[in-house]
Amino acid sequence: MKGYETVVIIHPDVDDEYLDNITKKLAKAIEELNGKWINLDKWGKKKLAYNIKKCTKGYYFILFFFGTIKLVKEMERILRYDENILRYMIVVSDEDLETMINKEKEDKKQVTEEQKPEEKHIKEEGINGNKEVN
Amino acid sequence: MQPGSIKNNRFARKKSVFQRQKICRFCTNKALILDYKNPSTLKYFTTEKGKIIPRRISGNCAKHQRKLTKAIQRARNIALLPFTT
Repeated sequence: MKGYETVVIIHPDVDDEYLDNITKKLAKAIEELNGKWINLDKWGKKKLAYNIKKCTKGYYFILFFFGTIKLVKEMERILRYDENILRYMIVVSDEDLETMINKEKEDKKQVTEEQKPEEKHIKEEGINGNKEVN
Repeated sequence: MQPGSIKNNRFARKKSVFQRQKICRFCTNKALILDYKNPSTLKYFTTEKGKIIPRRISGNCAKHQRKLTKAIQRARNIALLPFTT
């Protein structure tokens, strides 16, 4: 199990539903083949250094995950057969993925701790507050 | 023939021309991250046209120059750096 990272560039004139669909497809593939989803960074729209298919801007995002070679080939297949995906690159990652996993756990703990005092205040007032679950 | 004097002259010439000893920026400053995702640091090692600067001018060590070229080529594939301008 090696740590990989993929950079994907999507056409700029695309809805948010399309992005959610792609992330769901990749998450399914990761779960089916016993991989680990670590993190997803969204860079947003950036100007490209050269035109790709007559587009000057593109939507970037990075995915970090653990997996085997079969998983990598599955993801390549998913990314290749989408017409709105301009480029993708899957690379063995040099970064510390364990620290990223720990950072995410700490961030989630902080978020739950912040919600707890709010819930206490709401319970004291006697109102069922909005329980926002991530 | 005076082989001794010729040899001394040759070495003298070489030392006088290539005597500048530049230091590798990445070996001294370990906070500099060499990554294809940071095109701002990679831009210092390319010319205005987008070409990679050779090692004898930039002063990098061999190990970091190899990593640099790989990072620049990856960034070019992802359109974070241009191939040519």
